[in-house]
Amino acid sequence: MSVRRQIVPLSTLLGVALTACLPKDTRPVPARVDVTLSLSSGGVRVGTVDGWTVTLERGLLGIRSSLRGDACADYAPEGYTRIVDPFLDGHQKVNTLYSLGHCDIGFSVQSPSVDPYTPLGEHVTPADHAFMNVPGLDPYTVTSGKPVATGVAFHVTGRAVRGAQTKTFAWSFRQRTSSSRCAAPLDEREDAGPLRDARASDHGGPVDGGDAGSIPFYSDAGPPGPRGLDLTSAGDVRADLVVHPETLFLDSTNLAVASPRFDVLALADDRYGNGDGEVTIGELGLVPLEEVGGRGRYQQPPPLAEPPPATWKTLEDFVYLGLYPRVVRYRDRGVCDVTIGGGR
Amino acid sequence: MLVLLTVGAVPARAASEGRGSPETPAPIAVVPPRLASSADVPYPAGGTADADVILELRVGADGSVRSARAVDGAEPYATAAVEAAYAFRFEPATRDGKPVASVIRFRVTFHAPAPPSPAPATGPTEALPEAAASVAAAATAPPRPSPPPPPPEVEVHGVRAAPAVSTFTRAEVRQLPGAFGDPFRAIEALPGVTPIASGLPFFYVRGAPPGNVGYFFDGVRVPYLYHVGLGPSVVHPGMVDRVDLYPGGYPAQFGRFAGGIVTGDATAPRDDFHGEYNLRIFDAGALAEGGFADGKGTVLLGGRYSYTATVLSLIAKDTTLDYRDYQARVTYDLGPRDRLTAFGFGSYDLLGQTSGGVETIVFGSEFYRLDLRYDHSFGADSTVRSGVTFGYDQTRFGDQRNSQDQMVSGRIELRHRISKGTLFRAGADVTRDAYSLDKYPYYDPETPGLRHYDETFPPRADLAVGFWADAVLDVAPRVQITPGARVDVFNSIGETRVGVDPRLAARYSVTDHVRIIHAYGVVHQPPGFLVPVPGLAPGGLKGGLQTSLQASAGVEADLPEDIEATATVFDNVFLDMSDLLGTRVGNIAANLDKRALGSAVGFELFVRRNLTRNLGGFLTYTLARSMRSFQNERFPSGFDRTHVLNAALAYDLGRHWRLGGRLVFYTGTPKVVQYRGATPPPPSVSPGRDPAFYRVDLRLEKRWNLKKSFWISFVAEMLNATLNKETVQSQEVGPVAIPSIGVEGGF
Repeated sequence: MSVRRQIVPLSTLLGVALTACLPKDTRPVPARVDVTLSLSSGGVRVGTVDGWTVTLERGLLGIRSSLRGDACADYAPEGYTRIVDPFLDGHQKVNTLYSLGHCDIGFSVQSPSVDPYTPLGEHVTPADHAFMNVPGLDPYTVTSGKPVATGVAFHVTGRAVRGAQTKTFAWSFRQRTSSSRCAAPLDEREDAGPLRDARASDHGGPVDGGDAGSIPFYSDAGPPGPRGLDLTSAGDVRADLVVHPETLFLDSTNLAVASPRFDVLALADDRYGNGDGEVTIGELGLVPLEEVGGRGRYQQPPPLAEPPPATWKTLEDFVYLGLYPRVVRYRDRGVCDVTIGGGR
Repeated sequence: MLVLLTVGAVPARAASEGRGSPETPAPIAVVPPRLASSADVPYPAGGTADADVILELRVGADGSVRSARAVDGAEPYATAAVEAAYAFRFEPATRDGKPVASVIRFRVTFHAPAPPSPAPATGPTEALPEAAASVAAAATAPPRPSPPPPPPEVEVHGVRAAPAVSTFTRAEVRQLPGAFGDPFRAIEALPGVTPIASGLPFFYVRGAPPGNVGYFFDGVRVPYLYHVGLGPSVVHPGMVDRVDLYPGGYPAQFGRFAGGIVTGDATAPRDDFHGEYNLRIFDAGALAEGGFADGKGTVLLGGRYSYTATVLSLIAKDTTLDYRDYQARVTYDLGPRDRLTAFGFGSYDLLGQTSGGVETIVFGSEFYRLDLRYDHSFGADSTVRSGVTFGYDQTRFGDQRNSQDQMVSGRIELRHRISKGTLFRAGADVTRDAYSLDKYPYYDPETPGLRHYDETFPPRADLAVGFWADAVLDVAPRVQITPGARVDVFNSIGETRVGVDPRLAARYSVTDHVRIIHAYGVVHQPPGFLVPVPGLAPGGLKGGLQTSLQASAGVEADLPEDIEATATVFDNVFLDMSDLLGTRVGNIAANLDKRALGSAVGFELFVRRNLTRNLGGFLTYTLARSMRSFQNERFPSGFDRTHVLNAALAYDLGRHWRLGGRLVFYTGTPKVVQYRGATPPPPSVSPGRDPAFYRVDLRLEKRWNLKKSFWISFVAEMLNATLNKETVQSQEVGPVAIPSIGVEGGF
């Protein structure tokens, strides 16, 4: 075969191949989802049924949101955790997300990155960032059965006053909580779907969700609508996360019957602790649940998933594993699958 | 001393054009070329025995030697013979009275110097009577001695450019299990090389991170050598003559990479029409080359195309994997001493993932090079090359923004033999890299990673200017030293830094079969990235240049049964080192220009018998410790491996069956504990380590020789045939295994 006969077809192939270069971004314009955070209408003053007035004075919250799913094209998979003061009025930015398709929306409360570029919300200082990054241990900062020092995910300070009595508290929650597959309240959606329940899991694994017969935590919100968001090209969606600080003082994880109380918390300092007027997280751990529970109060809900979570033994378990994961809620009364890493 | 040149022109086979058509057979009067000049060959330094070298010379229609290579013979004789051959002049071969190009074989016989007169000398050259030769016309093919040689695989005995270099020829690599015939894939088997993970084409070289290892092909800088996804090399294997690894103390010609240098030499142009092809599960490739203008010019075209996407679509519909590469080279001899070359090549890789009906590029990259060069010879072993290179690199990561580098570089390289014992080399080059970064509208601008990315890789134009010179001096009959130096000036975003790099290499022949090798050098480099990525390089020089101080000493020995052994110790120090992989302390994303003090000490052993022999093999072993110091902490490098061992055997089973096996073993890296992207340093002494890893690669080949010049092989190969899993950064991975079944052929 002549040289020409060989070279010509090879040249043609070469020419065809060279025309294929790395393309620019040819994907369709995605929808923009602005995830914001706001304070619930209850504000930072909580009146308890046992006569206390609890005032939340300062809060720091590490929070990030995400869009996921097999049918979801996430245009910016690299997210970030923002530090915000959750007790400010108005809507604060959490993240801006870009996606297309049917996406599960979720968020997590977690300690922020040590990255100096970690976005800080209004009234949050670099000193706050440094504080949130100081690693520490608590009974729940456990990964694969081993304690792992972790920064602060949620820090809250405040005081409770009843008559002449005053109690202060400064609680740091380090373990990450994740809320995924969130659904808006049914009354916000026209296409109501079947009821899907969600509840906390303190064994670290994902919750598969319950059914209509299980105990709904957010029964006050009614049945939730379908999970996730249907995002179309160039759409503009806003998803608001709402902070409910009163959650930390509820006496039940069943929101339909829960009431804010402080007597038991004060007791942790007065009877089980050092009586110095400050209720610490550690002092909550000295209060056996069996001594303060009963009549539906301060009790661990029945498990919805296998394997069952470890049994809550103290008031600290109840607050840390049962209440803290529900401080931030999707669209105020929405429903999510909630998990908290590790456990006692 | 007598150096005897034997001209043994061996009959060349006629190309198709020279055979005449069956309808009009005509006798062809062919006269072989005759030696028409003195052909003195200096007795090489370091040689002390008699030796024969068989050269294959391509003689142009004007009688000049266009290319020379050693097809048989040991070093240093082969190098001396090749270098001298370019000065030979011939009366060209004729066909029907018309001068034509030809390819002939020469035997060069060296006689050891007499003891009383140890100084190198040149003796008379005697041309022995040529054998009858048939010479083809323009497309002359390589001569075929009797009995016929094996199929025309490329077999080149390397020209060792410097002490302290490790080399694999393409012929050897073809027999190396797990390399899939790719010369560049053999790099990981060389001493001093520490893999990041099995099969992954990024590695540490004597403690230097992947971003500090420079890759060059035929003198042209390339960003990487391998396709994505454990893919093959980005240059068709048929175009790669050999691969050299300079792990440290390299010649002054090389710089700007504070780790090792990997160079690939392209095959010399040939005007006889030849080619090869391969067809495998995942890809197909072909290469062909021929001549024009009566042998004055040559054209080479090659490439590889993967149909991995089609294969993957059957098993993983949401994943796209695609790669291809291309090569084209045109040479034209303006005269017996002048050659123009245009060499273009490129590579393309794409790894995509479809989700929600939208395909996202996980990793995409491409690079292209066009090198225009002019070579002029002004005497025996005296050449000058001037060239200009244009390059375009582009990469896309997860954020879907393309980053680009438009490169233009000019260079001049001089090589001049001043005397028999003095070879002077010098050069200069200037390179401008214009980096750009696409805007990206679909991203939260507050994303820290995005901000770091923009700050680390800002659009700008970097400039590097370098000058270098060295001299290969035979200072005594058994002593050769190569002093040299290079100066590089770097400019990026308004910052200018200067690197002055002295180099010194020495070779001392203790006996005829034992040599001591030393290599020392200083190298400067701008900050590097995790791994080499096209179009991505950290901008700015605020942190200064990286500096490496490299030292090694070793012994080479020629053992019985043609076994060569090299034992080397090395000690490297790295100042202001940017090694994000190895310095895994703190938050990586928050500080992409993290600088550390590094060190690496070790021992290397390389024992080999050419893999192309009936029974060939090699063993490489590296014992090393690589440390980092960062913010008052001293700890092992993130990819410090104490032991790395490669052992390979290839055996000719007869009837053209060949079987090979290779063992790869290395110990684990320090365990990783991460916290929110930040990593505390491992203990400096006896850190916990991930488990060791080993794998076995296998290769089986059956070859058929068809007609006179065609051959075809069936090759089955498996990387990690033992399906072992590996622990990488404290996470179990795999098993990563690559099977390959295909056919290869050539003519």
